[in-house]
Amino acid sequence: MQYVTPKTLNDALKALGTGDISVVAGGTDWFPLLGERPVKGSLLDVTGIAGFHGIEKGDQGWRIGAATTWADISAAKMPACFDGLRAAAREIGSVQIQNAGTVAGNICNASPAADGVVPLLTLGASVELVSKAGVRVVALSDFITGVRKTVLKPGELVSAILIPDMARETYSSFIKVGSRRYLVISIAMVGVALTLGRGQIVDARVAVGACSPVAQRLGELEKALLGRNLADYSAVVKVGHLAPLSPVSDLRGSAEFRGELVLELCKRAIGMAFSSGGQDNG
Amino acid sequence: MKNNLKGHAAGQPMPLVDGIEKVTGRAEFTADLETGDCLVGRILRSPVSHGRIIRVDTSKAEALDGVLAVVTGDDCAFTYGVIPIAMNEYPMARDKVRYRGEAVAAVAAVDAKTAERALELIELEIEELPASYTPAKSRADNAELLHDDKPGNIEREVHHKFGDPDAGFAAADLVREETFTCAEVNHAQMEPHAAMAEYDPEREHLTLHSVTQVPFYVHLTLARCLEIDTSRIRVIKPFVGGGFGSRTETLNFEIIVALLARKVGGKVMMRLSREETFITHRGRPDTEVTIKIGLTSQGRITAVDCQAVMSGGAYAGYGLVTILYAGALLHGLYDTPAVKYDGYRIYTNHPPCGAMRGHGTVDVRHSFECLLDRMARELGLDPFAVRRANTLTAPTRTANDLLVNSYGLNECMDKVEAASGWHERLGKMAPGRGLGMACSHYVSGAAKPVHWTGEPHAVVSMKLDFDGGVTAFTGASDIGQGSTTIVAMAAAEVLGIDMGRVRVVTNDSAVTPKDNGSYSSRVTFMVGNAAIEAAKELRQKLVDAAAEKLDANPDDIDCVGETFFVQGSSQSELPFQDVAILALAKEGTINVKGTFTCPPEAQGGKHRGGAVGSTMGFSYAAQVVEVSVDIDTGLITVEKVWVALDCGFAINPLAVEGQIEGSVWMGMGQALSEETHYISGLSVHANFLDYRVPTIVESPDIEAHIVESIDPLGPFGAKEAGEGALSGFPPALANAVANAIGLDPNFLPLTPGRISDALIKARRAARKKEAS
Repeated sequence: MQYVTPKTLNDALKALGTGDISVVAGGTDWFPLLGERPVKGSLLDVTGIAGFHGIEKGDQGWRIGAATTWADISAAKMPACFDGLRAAAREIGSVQIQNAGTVAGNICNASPAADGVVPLLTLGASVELVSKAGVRVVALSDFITGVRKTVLKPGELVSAILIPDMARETYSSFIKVGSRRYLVISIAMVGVALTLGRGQIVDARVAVGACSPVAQRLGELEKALLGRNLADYSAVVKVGHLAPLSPVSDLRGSAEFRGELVLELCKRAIGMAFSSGGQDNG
Repeated sequence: MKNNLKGHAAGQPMPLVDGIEKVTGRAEFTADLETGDCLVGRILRSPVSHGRIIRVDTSKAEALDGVLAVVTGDDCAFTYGVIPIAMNEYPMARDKVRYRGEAVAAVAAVDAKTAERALELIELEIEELPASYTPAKSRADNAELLHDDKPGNIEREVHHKFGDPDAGFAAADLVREETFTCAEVNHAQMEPHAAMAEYDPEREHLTLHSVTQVPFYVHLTLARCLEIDTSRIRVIKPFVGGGFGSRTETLNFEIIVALLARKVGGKVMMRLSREETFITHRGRPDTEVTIKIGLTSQGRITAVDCQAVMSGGAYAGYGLVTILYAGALLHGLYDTPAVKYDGYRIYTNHPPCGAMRGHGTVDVRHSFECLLDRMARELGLDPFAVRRANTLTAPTRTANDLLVNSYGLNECMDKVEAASGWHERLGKMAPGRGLGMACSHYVSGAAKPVHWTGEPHAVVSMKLDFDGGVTAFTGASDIGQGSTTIVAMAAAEVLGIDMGRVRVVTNDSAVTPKDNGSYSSRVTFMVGNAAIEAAKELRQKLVDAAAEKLDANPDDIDCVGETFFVQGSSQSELPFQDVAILALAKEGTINVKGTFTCPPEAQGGKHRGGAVGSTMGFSYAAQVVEVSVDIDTGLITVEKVWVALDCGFAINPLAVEGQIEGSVWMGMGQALSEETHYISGLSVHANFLDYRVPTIVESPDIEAHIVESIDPLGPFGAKEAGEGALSGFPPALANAVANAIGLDPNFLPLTPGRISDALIKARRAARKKEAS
């Protein structure tokens, strides 16, 4: 077994072409998944690659380097529209996991219960992929295709998560429910991003995780929310809006419970986004 | 001080004497003892839940380079088990496997990789048999028997009747019955299992280091299973990272590692993974409790009828004790004049259950306290009032002939009632917030040990030598509960010396006196009393020497602050060191010992199973739990806990508080989130992510109160402190949930999913009622 720690993207891509090699960053999903089995093949650690770290504001929006950790996200100075992402960052695993685990790792792992994917969907995030052939950008909603499945091709690396500029008055929130408060896998989670204009919703994005193989946006609910305000948003949240979801009954909760839970979490998360807008204005 | 001792050590909050090693990381646990010449042991486990073993072929594994020994069921034809009349487990399965993960074979190799490879090379042929995972399935007519001598897969049934329950129910104004289901839980102790065995082939001596709570029982089991004379065996217990009952019986890996060591004629270390530690199990069984209570309109209990069905797993273990405890401890908390109990311990194809903190009592106490609360509500009685209507007056004997020698429950209730502001706050809280309370109790040691030898129940020896140091020797296993500290404090208190002058040597069968082990909260009571007696014996020798020198009557001599003096005289003083030299001059190194024997009147009734539940003194606890319940998510938050424990006398109040908090946390885990889970016999919660022990984030503010009823037989008046408060937490929580949201849950744990499903069901029922 070889443990490769390239310092440049070029070296990394070269190493990636050498066959049986797995890409790791924090390793917080990769190692537990290994269980008691020995490591097969080699490991490519991307955390040392120049330009893979940190959060940058550019002309088009924000660029989150692939090796940026959840702790980095929690600590970053970003506008209010990132509040939901920051809330998720503080709820992923434990403090130790947040210090090692990365944003890109969370999405590449493609778990239905990935906490990071939900707020990123509400931010309209896309994924920057590099290979020897060049760079391509794929919307996050297209990047994850199923349980532990992505469109990542052999020879490709995720280099960054891209988030477009948000309208000024955009506020976001994130709520996760598990069987305990800390160190827990979600039963359900909801992320919301609202753009407000004169107290009314002018744009809404609602995403739900752990209730379908891939986290889903609730398009019908988003439409229904348009034009609503703090006083009347709650009434529009309907069971029918959950059509994109397919909650299962498992050890963590029944499908029926998940359905009721998501409805309530949607209301709360929208309320939280509203109130953070209120605070911002006040 | 209510007792007659001076109290410069006993009654003072003391950090544990072995705490320094633990907090600095210097403590060596069994897994830390590995040395360069140590082989690695690994266990091959059954891939099926139930099956007949056709063939175990180890030839390829034995041929592998670096493999020094392979053992199978053929290497040991002796059963073992903690209860002498119920030994039905082999260290490695012989004819049949009865649960997924049961040990089938084991290897010792030069390193872990080779050992793993060797396991893969063992060919295992098993003819699968139908498996039963629930008591209902196990008891069905056509169910495959796990053990041929146990028809109906019933390991043990208990039918006890005390007083006249029929007359009691007839005299009641209100009779109610409910069925509660409580999920199986595991101890989840921090330290995974490990054992290291060394066999000296020239001397034919075996030395075992293990994580055990019961080195003496392990010693006996090794002798039995390896056919070695007990004198050729030495068992040592290093630091142990928690027990909670998981190690109160010999476990298969302890025997397997010894078999391997003997076969190679060397040293083998066996470290179990967290998954294997969970599979070794011995936790609290999944239990269904059907309970019926009769109350007068004033809340007086007239009769109790209880049925408990336990899913015990594949082997006997402690099972018969568990099912007996569940019935016996229906008594002793309240005045219950008529009690009928039917208990069924059923074999299922899961890892064996066993003893766990609050052994046998927790699920039954939960059910009782929940139903009592609901009936009080129906009668318009306050939860405290209904319990006060049924308190005992010590000394007394219960309907099943248990001795109650001291009783502080009234004071416990007074404390938590006042501290929680119960009457001012109940019914006036914000929506979704509520208060609940419950009471509980536990034995201070089983008055009859499982291995009856006729010996005293505890022995402590003590040595005074030229250095002026006092060394106490005890076989009591400190598993974090503080038993070593108790022995040191007892010596310091009685001798009037500084704690720093006392050393305690523990748990080496070559050095320390036998002790039955750390279980049933017996150690403080029994070993504490033995330590006091040993110290008194030593004190007498010192007093005699001082009296001779001071030309005084020994009865007039006292020792305080390491100074011997004639009472009432300020001139005649001798420092401890000088007196020690005078005493040693007479006889050389002084060795004394103290013993404790449970008095016959504490050893329970004459009925079958009457020894279980018998004890010298019960601890008592009352607690109030404040919760908030989020009815839309089902999430319960424990806001605050007020808990009072009658531990007789707190020899070390700091350790008592720690034990009370630990009981609350462990009760909270079972009540809120912990449960094992199996899919086709495969343990799928065998890790700390899926087996959800509450974290510090869930920990509420715990206000612990100590009540001291001064037990007439207890050491300085002390009783147990480590278990009594646990079984009160789940019902106090459930009662608080009922108070908060009007839902009476009949299940444990109260997970968000279960609470929400129950609420959905309740809403649906309400809509149906409305519509009709």
